[in-house]
Amino acid sequence: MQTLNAPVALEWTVASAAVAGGLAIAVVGAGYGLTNTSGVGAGFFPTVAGTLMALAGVLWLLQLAAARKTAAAAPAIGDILESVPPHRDSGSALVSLLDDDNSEEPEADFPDRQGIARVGIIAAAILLAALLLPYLGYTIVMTLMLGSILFLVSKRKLWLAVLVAVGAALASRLVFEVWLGTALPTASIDFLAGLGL
Amino acid sequence: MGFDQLLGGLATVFTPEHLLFALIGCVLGMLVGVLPGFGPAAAVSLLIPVTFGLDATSAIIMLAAILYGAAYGGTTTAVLLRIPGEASSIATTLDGYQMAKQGRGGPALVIAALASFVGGLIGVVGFVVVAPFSRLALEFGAPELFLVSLLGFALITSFAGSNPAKALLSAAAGLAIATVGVDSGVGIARFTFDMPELFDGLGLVAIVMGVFGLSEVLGQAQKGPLGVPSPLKVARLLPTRTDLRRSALPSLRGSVIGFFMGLLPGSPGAATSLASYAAEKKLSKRSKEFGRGAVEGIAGPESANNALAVSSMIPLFTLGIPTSATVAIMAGAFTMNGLIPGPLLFRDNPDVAWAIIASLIVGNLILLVLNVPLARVWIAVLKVPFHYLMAAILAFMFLGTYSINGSAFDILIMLGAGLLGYVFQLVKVPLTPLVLGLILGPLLEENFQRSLALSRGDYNVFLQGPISLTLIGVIVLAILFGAVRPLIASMLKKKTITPVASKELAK
Repeated sequence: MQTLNAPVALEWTVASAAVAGGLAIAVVGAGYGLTNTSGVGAGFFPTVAGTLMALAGVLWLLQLAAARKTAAAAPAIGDILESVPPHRDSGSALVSLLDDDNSEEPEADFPDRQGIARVGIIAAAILLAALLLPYLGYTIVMTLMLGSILFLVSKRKLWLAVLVAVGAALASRLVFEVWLGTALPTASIDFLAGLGL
Repeated sequence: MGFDQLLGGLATVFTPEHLLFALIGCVLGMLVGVLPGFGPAAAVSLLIPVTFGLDATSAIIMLAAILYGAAYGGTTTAVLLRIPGEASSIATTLDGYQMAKQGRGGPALVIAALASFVGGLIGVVGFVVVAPFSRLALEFGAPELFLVSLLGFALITSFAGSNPAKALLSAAAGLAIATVGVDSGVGIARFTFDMPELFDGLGLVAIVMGVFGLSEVLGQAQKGPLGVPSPLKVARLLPTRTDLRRSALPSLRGSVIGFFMGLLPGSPGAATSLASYAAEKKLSKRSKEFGRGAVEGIAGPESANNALAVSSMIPLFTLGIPTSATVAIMAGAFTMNGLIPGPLLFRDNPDVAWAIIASLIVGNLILLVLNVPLARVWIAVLKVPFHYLMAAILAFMFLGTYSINGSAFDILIMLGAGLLGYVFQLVKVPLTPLVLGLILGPLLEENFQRSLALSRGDYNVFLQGPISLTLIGVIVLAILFGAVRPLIASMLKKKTITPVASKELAK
C-alpha cells in the first residue's frame, strides 16, 4: 500500500522540477540570442517557453502550499467532501461544461510499489530494445522485449511468454516486411546476421 | 455554399479504393476504441503508422475513419459493459447500460448509432456552411496569424484540465519541446546537444504516440491484470417506433449543442455530452426515467459527441488552428502527408479538402451499418487477457515508431514522451495543451518573427487594424475567463454537494 502522501509528494516534485527545468530552458534559451537585426533572435521563444514553465511551476507550488495549510486546518470536513462521489450527472448543463471533473484527460490511479515496478520493467524493456536494435536486429529484440514483459509484468509462465514473444516477433516481421514492404533492421553481429536475424 | 464541392468530394470518396480504406479505418478505430482508456486521440496516434505509404487523400480519409471508429467503439463498451472506452462516452453509460440490463442492448446501440449519424451529418452540413468563410482567413497577414495562434493557445490553456497552472505548465512544456532543433529564422541549433537526430526537432508522431498511447498502456499496466465484467446481451436489435420518436428531437438538440461546442477551442467531448444529457433531462417529460434506461439519455449525448467531433475540425480547416488533442494529431497527419491545414488547403488542394469532409459522412454511414453486427466481435476482443493485448499494442507502437524514419532514436523519444505523459496523468496535468503547444509553437514563432521582420522590430504591428484589436480583446477575455472558471464551477458544484456533505456530517 502506498502512503497517503505519495501523490502529494510527486506533485511537489513535478512542480519543483517544472520551476528548475523552466529556468534552465530560459537561461540556455537566452544564450541563443533574444534579439537580432530583423526582430527577435533564436532564443526568444525558448526563453518565453521556459519562463512560462517556471511560472506555472511556481503557481502550482503556491497552490500546494495553500492546500497543505487548508488541509491542516480542517481535515475532517475535507475528508468528507472528498468522499462524496463525483456528481457526473449534475443536472445542470452549465456545470457540466465548466466542471473540471469532466476533463477529457485520462486519470491514472496512483500506483503501489508493484505498479511502479511494472511500469519500470516496461520502460526498461523498451529502452533496452531501442538501444540494442541496431546490434541484435528486430526479431531478437522484439522477442526479448515481449518475452520479458509477459514473464515479468504479466507473470505468464516462461515457456508461454517465450512462445508468444517468438510468435509475435515473427508474425509482425512477416506483416511489415512482406505486406507493408517496410525493411526491419537485421543484426549487425555477423553470426546473428548469418542466421537471417 | 459548398454543397456542390461536397458532392464532388463524395464522388472522390466513392471509389473502391477510398471506400476500402474508410472501411479498414472504421474497423481498426473501433478495435482500438473498445479498449478501456483508448479514446479517439490514442487510437489515431497509435494507428498513424498504418497510413504510411498511402497517398495523402487515402491516408487522411483512413485516419478520419479511425477517429470515428474509435468513438463508436467507446459507445459499444459503454452500453454493454458499462466501460466507457473514452471520457465522452460516460454520459452514454448512464442510460445505455440500464437499457442493456433490461434486455434492450440492441436498441440502445442502434439509437446510439443513429444519433451519432445525425450528429455527424448536421456537423458536416454546418461545416459546409462555414467552410467558405475560410477565404477571409486568406486575408490574414503574419501578425493576425500570430494572434489567432495565440488565441488558440490562450483558449486551450484556459479551458483544459483541472487547473490553469497545470494547463499552462503542459502548454509551456509543449512550446519548449517545439523549440528543439535548428531555428528556422537564423539557423541556430537549439537544445540539440550536437546530436544530428535532433537537428530536425523531436518527431511529432513519436511524441503523440508516447503521450497518448504509451502513457495509457503504462497506466493500465500498473494496475496489474484487469478483469472485464460479463457483457450484457445485445438481444433484440431494432428499436421500437416509440424509441425512434423519443430520440428524434434529442438527437437534433444534441447535434446543435455539440456543433457549437466543437467550435470553441478546448471544449472537451465529455463535458459536451454531459451538458446535452443534462439539457435533455431538464426538457424531458420523463425526467424520472433518466438513469433508468431513457433513450433520450443516449440520443442526446451521442449526437452531441459526434457533431462536436466534426465541428472541432472547422478551426483546423478554416484557420489552421487545432483546438483539441485529436484534431492536433490530425493536423500533424496533414503535415506529414504534405498538406497544410488551414485556408490554403481549400485554395491549393480543394479536391482533397472536400474529399476529407465528404469522408466524414461516409465514415458515419459505414459505422451505422457496422456498429451493431460487430458488437459481439469487440466484446470477444475484450475477453482476450489484457497481458496479450498490452504486448500486442507495445509491439505495434515499437514498430510503428521505428517505421516513421527507420530510426531507433524515435523509439527513445516515444518512450520519453510516454513517461512524461504517464507522470502528468498521475499528477493530473492535462496532456492536450502539451500537444497543442507542440503544434502551435512553430506557428507562433514563425509568424511572430515574420511580423517583426516586416515591421522592422516595431511591436505596434500587432495593434494595427480592427482584426488584431478584436483578437487581442478575445485573448484577454479568454485568459480572464480561464482564471475565474474554476471558481464559478466550484461555486456551482458546492450548491449541489453541500447538502449531500451535510447529510454525511449529520450521520
